[in-house]
Amino acid sequence: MTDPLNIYLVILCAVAATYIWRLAGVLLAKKIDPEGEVFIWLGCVAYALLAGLMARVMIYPVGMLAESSLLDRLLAMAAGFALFILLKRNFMAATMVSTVCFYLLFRFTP
Amino acid sequence: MSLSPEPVEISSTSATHIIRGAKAGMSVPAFMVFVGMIGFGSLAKSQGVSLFATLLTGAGIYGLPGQVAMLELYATGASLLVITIAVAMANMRFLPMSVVLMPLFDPADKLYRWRFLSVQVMSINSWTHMLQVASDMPKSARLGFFTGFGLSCFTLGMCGAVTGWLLAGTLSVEMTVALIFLNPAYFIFLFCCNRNINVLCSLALGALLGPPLYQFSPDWGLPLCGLIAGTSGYLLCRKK
Repeated sequence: MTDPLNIYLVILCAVAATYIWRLAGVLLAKKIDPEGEVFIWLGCVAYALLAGLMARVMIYPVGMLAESSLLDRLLAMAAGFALFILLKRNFMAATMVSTVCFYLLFRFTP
Repeated sequence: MSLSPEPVEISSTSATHIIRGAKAGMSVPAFMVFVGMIGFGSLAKSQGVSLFATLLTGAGIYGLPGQVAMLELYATGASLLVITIAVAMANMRFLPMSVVLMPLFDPADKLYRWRFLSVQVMSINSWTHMLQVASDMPKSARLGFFTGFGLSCFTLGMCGAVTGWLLAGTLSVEMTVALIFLNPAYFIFLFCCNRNINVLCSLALGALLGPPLYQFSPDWGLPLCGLIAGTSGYLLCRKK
């Protein structure tokens, strides 16, 4: 068996691997006109990526969330969306209701 | 008191913007980061990572998917190269996010030279919020506001990591899973508040394409999803 990696070395590499994206963004942004079409397109790309990430977390979760069923998660989100539309885009109410629904479904369904 | 009014005016203005941002962040957004980091803290403790290393990871990476990828791969004994690449892929979203964020700020702002540090407190929360409120404030006020807002979330996030580390194993499974669910649910509803038709199209397409593309390639699925869905959303709903 090989020696386990030093956790601090792992953290250093992980931190660098993340910060490089933030830094690259800051440097690239110099060339982008906030009134221009490229800016609008990049905004769409960023939002689409984040929506894809959240949908992935809901549909194919990793870790403990994977212990709940897909149906529980989808039903809870549907309840939240219904309230979101009913209360004219009240996202906090929608978040709270869907989380409570999710908790109850997860706790009390087999 | 009026010996040097101008510099005092400028620096106090920056401080005012930072404080205003910090106050705005110190409510629901910071609470959400707090809750998200609880799960991370518990995971770190369960894998035998010290509190100090947990905080260092949370503060240094400050992006949950990358933090979780790092811990999980470290626990399985993956090589340093594999861990580094996995973390980079998991947090790649920060590139388009910071490219979109930076042009909102004023290069003449005194804080502008600190943007390399400010960008460290960029999370989905502070980014989304900044994009939503940017048009309501002068360009010179934005970086201060963003930094304050981000610092609020960051600070509570670190408190969340400590809380999770200390509470590991004491919360019921149902409660822990519900807390994990809270975060993506919050972001999904927060995104849906957007009123820009291009963004709404991109969000819908991204949500549809994200899961199948992830199945197709866990590493490249998300960047691909951003490019395909974002470009389609941009082109489909473009107003002439």
